[in-house]
Amino acid sequence: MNSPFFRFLLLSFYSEKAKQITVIIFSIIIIFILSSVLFLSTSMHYSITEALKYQPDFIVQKMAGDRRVNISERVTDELIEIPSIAKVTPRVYGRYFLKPLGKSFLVVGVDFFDVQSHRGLEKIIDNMDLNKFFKRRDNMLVGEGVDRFMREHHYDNNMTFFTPKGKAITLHKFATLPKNSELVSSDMVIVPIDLAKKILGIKRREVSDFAFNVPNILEWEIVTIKVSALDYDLRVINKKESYKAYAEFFDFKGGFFLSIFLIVLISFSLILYQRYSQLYSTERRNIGVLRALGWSIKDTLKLKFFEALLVVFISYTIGVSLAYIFVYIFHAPILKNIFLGSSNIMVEPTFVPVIDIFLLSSIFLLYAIPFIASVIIPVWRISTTNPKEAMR
Amino acid sequence: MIEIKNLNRYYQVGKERFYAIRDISLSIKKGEFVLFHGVSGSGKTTLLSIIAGVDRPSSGMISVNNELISKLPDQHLSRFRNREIGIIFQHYNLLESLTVYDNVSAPLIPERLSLKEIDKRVKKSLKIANISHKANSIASTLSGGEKQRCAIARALVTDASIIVCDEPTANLDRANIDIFLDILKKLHKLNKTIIVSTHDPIFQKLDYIDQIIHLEDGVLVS
Repeated sequence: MNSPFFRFLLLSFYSEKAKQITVIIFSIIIIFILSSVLFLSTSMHYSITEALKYQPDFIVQKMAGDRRVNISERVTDELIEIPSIAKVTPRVYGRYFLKPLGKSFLVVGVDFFDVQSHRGLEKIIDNMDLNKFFKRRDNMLVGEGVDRFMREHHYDNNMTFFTPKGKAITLHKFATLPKNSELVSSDMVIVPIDLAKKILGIKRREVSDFAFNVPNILEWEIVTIKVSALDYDLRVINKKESYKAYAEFFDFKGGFFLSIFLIVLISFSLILYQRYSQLYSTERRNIGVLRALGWSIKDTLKLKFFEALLVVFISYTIGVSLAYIFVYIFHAPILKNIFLGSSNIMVEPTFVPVIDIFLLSSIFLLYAIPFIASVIIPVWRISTTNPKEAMR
Repeated sequence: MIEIKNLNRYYQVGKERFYAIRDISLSIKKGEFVLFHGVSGSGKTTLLSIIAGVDRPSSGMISVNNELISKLPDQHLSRFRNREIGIIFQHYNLLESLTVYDNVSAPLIPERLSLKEIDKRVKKSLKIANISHKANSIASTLSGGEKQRCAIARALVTDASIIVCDEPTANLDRANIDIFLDILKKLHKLNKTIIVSTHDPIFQKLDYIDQIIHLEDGVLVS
């Protein structure tokens, strides 16, 4: 260290190590909590947004008494007639309840020969050998949550489903869906369409709903009107509305996040206020001594600014790194329950590391500016008084 | 050369003014050894603080080495204190958690000198103050006499022309008082202006005192 100023700064910093370590530990805790919550919410937001990317542009459902009911496959022909609609895909899905255990799975029927219709699933089952899958007629793909459930309840690789008519269908677990898709696929059971229809009690000529794409976004409004006009009981949902629904759900969860965030900020502010209102008497005296020895107000402010910056830098680096490890390597134990607690099958997702410079800067500024201000303002107040007064 | 004319320092307590010093006028020549004498509360420490630039007068004029310090802005007053004044406080006022070496180097930091130059000056001051052997000791672990020698070294390190001492013997035993007086004598020989504020009668017996200024209730008596 060639600069006498920085040498003096480090010596003075080191000489008050007990005080500095206390401040650093406290700061690390605050930054750690803030960063963990922000990392977690950003990662979830990213995962949900990514999952929505693979959603079809439109979904058409048949409604009866404000409830979705199955729809005839014939509607496909009517939809195809409408110009601008690129491709219509019938979808089969529904909840399968395990009454004694109070759990439910999302059974999804997939036409594996029409992979383009299932862009999302195609991504999920990317690395699987589908030829092997079709060697058995009773194969299923399960989400991580279902896999865990099967292991916990000693199902091994086979699980029996009962159709609404009481007929038993035993399915064989072919593979588990990739862990990184767990946020959206945790409770999923993917089977061929015909099998799904049997399990869910859907008639042969019926499906759950239709999905289709309209490449030109300017035509979305007119397509909505045209599809709605096909029948009085059709409900047309476009991707923007799905985004909105997810956003609302996420905002609800965001309330918890906000609570934690506010609690941390309030406790941080209280401690800063305490520091602001009563600067340690030794620190006061030392500033007075330096001033008496010929240090100007600017010199003392510079010393204390760099001292605070050093605390901020150390705390920020350690706090953010610990939060990264906590969220992305240990998958945020305890904290994730706030966001994922309502799932009927516990989701244990792998959070995708999202490094957002804006987020990191926000954490830095949220912490650094109040902290440095809480150091500099009292130092400035002391420095501007007579050194004689400050030394008392 | 220090020139003081009609100097007042008062504190406003409610509607009342409390005068610490009132209407002081005096002059101190370069190289003089001056004693401010008086009982506690007589205003000698306040007068000393104003000369040292660590306090400002409420009214009146003070000029040190032709610099009108009562009117200087902070940046200039700080530089003035740094270059012209070496202060030895009654309670030493060391940075207790730093070493003797670092305490002595503290006044040189704003000077933007090289580490080598700082080292040279600090070692020289430690030697004059006879405290080199404690250079690496933490200030809080020193005895009273050692702390004072550290404070002397710190006062000398900027090669200030004026050394001001506030009740320098108040916390020292006889042996340390003798050491301190020896150092002051050496500094006087180096043509430093020395101003001591004290009520210790030992100073009045010194044969090298040029001027004794007696204060009583903030007023110059003789």
